[in-house]
Amino acid sequence: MQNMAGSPDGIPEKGIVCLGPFRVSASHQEVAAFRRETGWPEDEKSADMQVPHTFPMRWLSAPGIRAVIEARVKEAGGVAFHESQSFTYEKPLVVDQDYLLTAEASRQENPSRLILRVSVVSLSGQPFLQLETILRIVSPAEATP
Amino acid sequence: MNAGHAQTAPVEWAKAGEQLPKRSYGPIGGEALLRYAAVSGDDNPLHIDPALARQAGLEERPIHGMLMMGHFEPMILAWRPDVELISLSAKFLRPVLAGQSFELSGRVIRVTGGKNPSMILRLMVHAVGGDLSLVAEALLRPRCKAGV
Repeated sequence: MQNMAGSPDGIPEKGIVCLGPFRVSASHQEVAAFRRETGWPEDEKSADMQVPHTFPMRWLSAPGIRAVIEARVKEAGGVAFHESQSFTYEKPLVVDQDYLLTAEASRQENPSRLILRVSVVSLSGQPFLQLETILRIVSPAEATP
Repeated sequence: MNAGHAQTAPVEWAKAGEQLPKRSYGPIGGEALLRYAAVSGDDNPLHIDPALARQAGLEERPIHGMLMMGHFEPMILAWRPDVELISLSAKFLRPVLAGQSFELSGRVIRVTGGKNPSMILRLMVHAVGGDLSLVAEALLRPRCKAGV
């Protein structure tokens, strides 16, 4: 399967920063709130509640990751637009279970991008999922018509 | 894939070309953007501040691409509750703006049977009455039964 969110070929990445591990979890309340805003049926029994595939995006707002994203975008002097996103699961996440998240942030120039690759494993190191976020950084002058 | 995912083909596996029922959402207003920002942690001011959106060359705040992408999984499971989403990747092409509605569509582009059945979907989001906003691809496998 082609990964639609794969980083553009041939453009070197620089300034790779490794982040984590961070301890993360998907609480029942957080998952229920996330599902309400992303079109899930409300009549599902809460005991069977499935963690949505895209829920781990929430973990990218952890202070240790967010600070790096914001600093890199500021450094590039622009506004970040979400260009592409991918998630690949080895196993479904479980509500109220703890996981370890590690991330790698890198930059590309021409065009300016910030790439974040994230890996989530169980506390014993069993892989659960990988995700990749690519942000295109556009200067205000470039964006204004 | 590993033992976390089922490997048993459902009785009736989909056929290539099969369309998923379309779904529409919206119009998505500023309140919905704030709620999504709260539950996802993505409070990028571009999605919240109309002035910043205009500064970035947009007429209005863009709806979070992830909000739209997040609607694919319930659409897929409403179509086929017997599948599990293994991977999902998307490219965000054009923004859908606050005040607009969006429509999800999809079709099966490849099916594999045998001992390791899977299917690949091509998924899209359009602004209702407007342009293609997001194109995505999903890999599905039969859902794991409890105790398997």
